[in-house]
Amino acid sequence: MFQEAIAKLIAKTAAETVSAHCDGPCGVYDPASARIAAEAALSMTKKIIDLGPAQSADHNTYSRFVSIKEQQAHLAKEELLILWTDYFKPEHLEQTPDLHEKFWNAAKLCSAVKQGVDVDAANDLMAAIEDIHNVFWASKSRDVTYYVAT
Amino acid sequence: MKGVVPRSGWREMALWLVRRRRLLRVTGDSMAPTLAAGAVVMLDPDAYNGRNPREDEIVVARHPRQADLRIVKRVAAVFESRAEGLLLVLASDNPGAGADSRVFGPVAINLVLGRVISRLR
Repeated sequence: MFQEAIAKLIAKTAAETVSAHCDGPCGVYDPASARIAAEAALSMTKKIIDLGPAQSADHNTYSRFVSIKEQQAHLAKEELLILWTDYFKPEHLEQTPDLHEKFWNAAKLCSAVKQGVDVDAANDLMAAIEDIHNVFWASKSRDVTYYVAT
Repeated sequence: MKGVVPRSGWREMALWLVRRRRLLRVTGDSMAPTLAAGAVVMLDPDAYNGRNPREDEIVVARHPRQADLRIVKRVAAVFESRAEGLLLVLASDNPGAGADSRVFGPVAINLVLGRVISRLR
């Protein structure tokens, strides 16, 4: 416990920060990362609904499900926003003029999935990500089949 | 309900006198009903010197494609991109009227001129 307190004190002196995600040059982008998170959020949404009104014994399970759902919906949004800004460039707009709108709607759906227990929104999000998957791989002139894990 | 912009009080006016606020007149109704066309807002140019913008705040930014155009929008999302640093998704309150990130994509933080704090009318 004393050690922990000292560790915290020392940690506080760390003035410089370091970014934990690769910074640009890796160039590895794939809508699959957003799809996995969105699919997890959809799965948790269904599980929460299946659980029904929580009995007191279930409260722990219930809150864990909600927390995973929110985490995954948030992650899906981050992944989409990064794809939107870091991969797609203005020249892609010629091929897909409504590119911004597509990402906008997908990001909005992530928020809806995060905030509510909304199967429709979660399904719409999966459809939006499938659409983005198609746009993404078409921009690389590659034919990559969309798939889901469940 | 989205955050409203309060009327400027004495303090805001005093800050404007000492040049800590800028006055800007709103044209167009893409921010209605929060800010109607003709509203005059007080901008805090230093609002984001110490912190990042947050969701739901109203900001003024340079249009990403028209450097001479200033736009007033609500922050819909703030995120760190890998290549372009901190970016904001900007939204109109009245989405039928006026372009936002749906049209021009996310906006870099260095285009943000400040935060709308209050309105004179």
